[in-house]
Amino acid sequence: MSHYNLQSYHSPSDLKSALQLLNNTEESIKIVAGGQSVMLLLRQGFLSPDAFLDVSCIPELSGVSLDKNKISIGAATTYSSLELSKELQSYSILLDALHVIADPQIRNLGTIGGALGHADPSLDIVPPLLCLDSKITLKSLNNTRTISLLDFHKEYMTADLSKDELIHSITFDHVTKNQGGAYEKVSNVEGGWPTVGVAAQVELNSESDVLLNVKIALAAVGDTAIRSNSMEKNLIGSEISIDSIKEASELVSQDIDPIDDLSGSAKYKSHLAGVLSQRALRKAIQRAGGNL
Amino acid sequence: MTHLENNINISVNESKRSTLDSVGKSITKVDVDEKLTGQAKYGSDILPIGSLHAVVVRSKHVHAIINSVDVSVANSMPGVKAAITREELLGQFDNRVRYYGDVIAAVAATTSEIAIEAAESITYVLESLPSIHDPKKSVRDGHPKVHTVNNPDFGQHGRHEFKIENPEYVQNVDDYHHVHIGDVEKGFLESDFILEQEYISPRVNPCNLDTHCTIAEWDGDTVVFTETLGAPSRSRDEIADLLGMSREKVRVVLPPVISSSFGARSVPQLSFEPVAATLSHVAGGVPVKLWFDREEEFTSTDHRHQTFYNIKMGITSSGIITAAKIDLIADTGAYPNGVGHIVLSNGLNRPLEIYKIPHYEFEGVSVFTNNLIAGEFRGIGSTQLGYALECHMDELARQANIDPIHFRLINFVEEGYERPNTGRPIESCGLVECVERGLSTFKKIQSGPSTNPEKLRGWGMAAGTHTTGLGAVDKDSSEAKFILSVDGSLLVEVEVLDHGQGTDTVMTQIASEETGISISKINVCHYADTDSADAYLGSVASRSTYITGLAVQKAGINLISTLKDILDKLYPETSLNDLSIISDCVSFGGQNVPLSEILEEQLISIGFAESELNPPAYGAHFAEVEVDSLTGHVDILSYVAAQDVGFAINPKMVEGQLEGAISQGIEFALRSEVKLDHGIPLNPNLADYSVISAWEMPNVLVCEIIESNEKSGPYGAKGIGTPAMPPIAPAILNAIRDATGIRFNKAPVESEHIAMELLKQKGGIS
Repeated sequence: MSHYNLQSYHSPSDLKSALQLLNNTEESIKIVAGGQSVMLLLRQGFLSPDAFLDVSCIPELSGVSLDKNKISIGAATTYSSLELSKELQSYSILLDALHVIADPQIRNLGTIGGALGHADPSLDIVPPLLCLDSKITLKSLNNTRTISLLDFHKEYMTADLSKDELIHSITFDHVTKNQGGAYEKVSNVEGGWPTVGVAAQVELNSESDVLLNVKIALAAVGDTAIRSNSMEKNLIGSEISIDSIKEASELVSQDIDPIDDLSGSAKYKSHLAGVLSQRALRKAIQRAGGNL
Repeated sequence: MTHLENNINISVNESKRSTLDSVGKSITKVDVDEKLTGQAKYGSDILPIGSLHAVVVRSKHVHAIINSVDVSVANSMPGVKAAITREELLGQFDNRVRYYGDVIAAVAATTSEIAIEAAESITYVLESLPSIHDPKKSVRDGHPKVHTVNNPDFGQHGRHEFKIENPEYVQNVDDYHHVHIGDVEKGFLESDFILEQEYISPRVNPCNLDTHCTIAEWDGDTVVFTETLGAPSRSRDEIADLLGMSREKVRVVLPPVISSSFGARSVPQLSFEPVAATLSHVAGGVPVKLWFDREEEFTSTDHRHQTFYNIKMGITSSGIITAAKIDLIADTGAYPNGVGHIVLSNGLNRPLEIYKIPHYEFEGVSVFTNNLIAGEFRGIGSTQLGYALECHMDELARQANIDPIHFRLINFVEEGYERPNTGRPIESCGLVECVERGLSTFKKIQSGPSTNPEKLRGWGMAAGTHTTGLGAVDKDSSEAKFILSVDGSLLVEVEVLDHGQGTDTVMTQIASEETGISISKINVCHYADTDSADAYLGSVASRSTYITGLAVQKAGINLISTLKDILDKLYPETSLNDLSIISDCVSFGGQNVPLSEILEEQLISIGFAESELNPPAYGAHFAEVEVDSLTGHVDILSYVAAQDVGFAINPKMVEGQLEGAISQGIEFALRSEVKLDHGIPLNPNLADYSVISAWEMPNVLVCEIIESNEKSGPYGAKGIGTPAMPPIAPAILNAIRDATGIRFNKAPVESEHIAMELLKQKGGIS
């Protein structure tokens, strides 16, 4: 049972109009694209905005573009179009996650920018983006700023987004040939929220036996999605072996702070963080051409 | 990626099937277009002109005295036509709330927005009372009382006097059953091996897509409810008794299309019909629509009873059962609705209808607590018993080093066996064929050992039974009315409702079989309200195909017989043996005569059927699982459901019933549970309560339909909807036992339980 105060619904077709609305309005305004997170909050009474600003009709905010060094994804790009995007077909770390986000109906509407603005620590898409060292570009009428995703999510369900700003795009560098990535997840039912989710991206040397670079990030084990610095530090420069991965995975508990909740106990989640870290790393290394 | 590969094998008696035209064939469901295109009008789609919208103010306390409720602000709001307190509700509502979601007040207004705002303006003062949530403690002295007396009268069906023979059970008793057969202590002395263990079942919700919705209005001093109630007449009586009204003054009218139920709509709900009726009464009798949202569906409608089964069984060294002692404690929740009685009696009866148990004792108590209310759910009581008994049989066999399948085979009942509980014989029993055919198919589809050391594979089976209809309790009866128009179309009126299970299609097939009228010219409708369907029970207890199918068959026979009488006079020299109705003609002896030449008006026939039997339908199910030893995740690789349905009137729909049951069985075994913290639901929404999808279904699934030919049923048929349930969860859990070596005895067995137990065994975690 909820009581909505919603007075107006804006659906501009260009970015400038959207930014003007955000700049001028006296109303409390909530940005919406696919509505897959916002509508739940609204229904449960956690949100009661005066107006919605629907950004899904702004062409500039949708789609994937490439330049020489990086990939840029418009904030209002849906999960489904990312899954099908040919530019992302070599990003197995993203594809793994995109395939297990909720169900196809939700992926057809839910957007990447909506997820990042929502800042839920259990979102599947965030750990892969953290592993790719993604940057977020935010725009307001008079300003554009770019910050790292790591800094964008500072607290539980809180994004570093001012009232007059919207998420414009997400960018990350191209992966190189000797890189590989994977996302592993456990959930109570297929397409459910992750009990724990782990993403890993690795870069191997030319002989494919040493880890030149390792990025590991986890969902649902803290106030925000978390990068596991302890594991990364332990593995960077090491030779590839099942044992070294196993040993490193035991360090993950230093970086996470899971809680008991409906999806599982903190103890189980800590255990899963280790198990899934190993699995994600093994898969990422194999995809990068490493032998295991 | 799960690839769902379904197969359906029918054993049948092909010679019998080949003599039938419509029955025994997998015709398409007759209502499929209407439902798939969204044209079907369910109860919640209806909004009579001038209807008010109702909102209920519900308790967040699990047990409290209501000191005061102030509805004055709500009553003064424009658009509000009724704002009432709990004590103003018609019926027996006192000043106490007994569970989270119990009703405190309610409003009806011209729009739902106004009703919500008005409900939010209502203030109240509650004084918390000590509460009780453990049914094992609740019945014992010294714990809070939910009701001041045992067996309180809330108009519930099945309420009966009982004598509690257990001195420990002194309070909060909803119902009690105790039976001795033979001498159970002597039986244990004769045994070589005894196992005793407890099994706990989950509180699950059917999660009907269409949530509860009723429209209540008054026609003079008669209250009329428009909604789906699976047993309309019985529910009408219960509502009348609950409201303190005479039964003639209460009517239940069915909406154009019937909602799904799975038992959830088999009994009225305490905070539903009485609330809507009172609001309408206060508002001058205009229609009041009360439509539950998903949270109310979880908090204020019925769940499957959580049960605590303690089973002790003794066997000889060769595996013959000598004795069984079963103790059942069932959590009824805060109020009675007659279903506790069914859970206990089904728990009591089922073991005796599947195994020969010479010495037997059963004691069961259904108990009031300050938890959510329990009620009917597909295979009431038999599902919980089946889970506990079949896990126990499996465990006992494994520990005694006896093959679990052989153990069952040597103890099964058989045709002609007289059930010691009812004295009635078992007339059809396909158990052995279920096991043999099921196992043979299962061996062909099994994946076999895993090559991945992190994945453990195993398989298991379980048998199960649930009865068809109510014969053994009361004589069950049903009626069907045929109206043949001169254009050759046939209207079939029946008392059972098509909740989606396909009774309209089954009745169409039977009517077509008996009259020759083509499927497309037959329409099935339900007796639209309780004034016309008096005395019949409706769609519960898997009785529809069995008892109403018989009535339809008889109505068809009677129709043809009446036509023959008419034609005999018109064509005295012609043989009428092959008479049937084809298009708008009567066909006989090589000639076609238009119906319009024979009939001046429509021709009506009635079929009546009754049965004192309640034939058990049986199943043996086989499951192969793969357990991820590190995460505990269970994947069901292959599954065979071998089910004895007597005779499959529509094999494809039997398959549908089995697959639907398997999904609910998987939820029971592995995924779903309404979790309570001191009575407060932690997951009353579909984000946190897990409902499975096709992903969690077995990768390979085969349905083996066994046809044991139940002589008392139409064409040999008995039930499928509910009897499909009992074997599923135990087959899966027995497979997990096989894979892991661990017996999990509290369902659902979640991944975490499995992972942590496996770790504990490896000494990896304390």
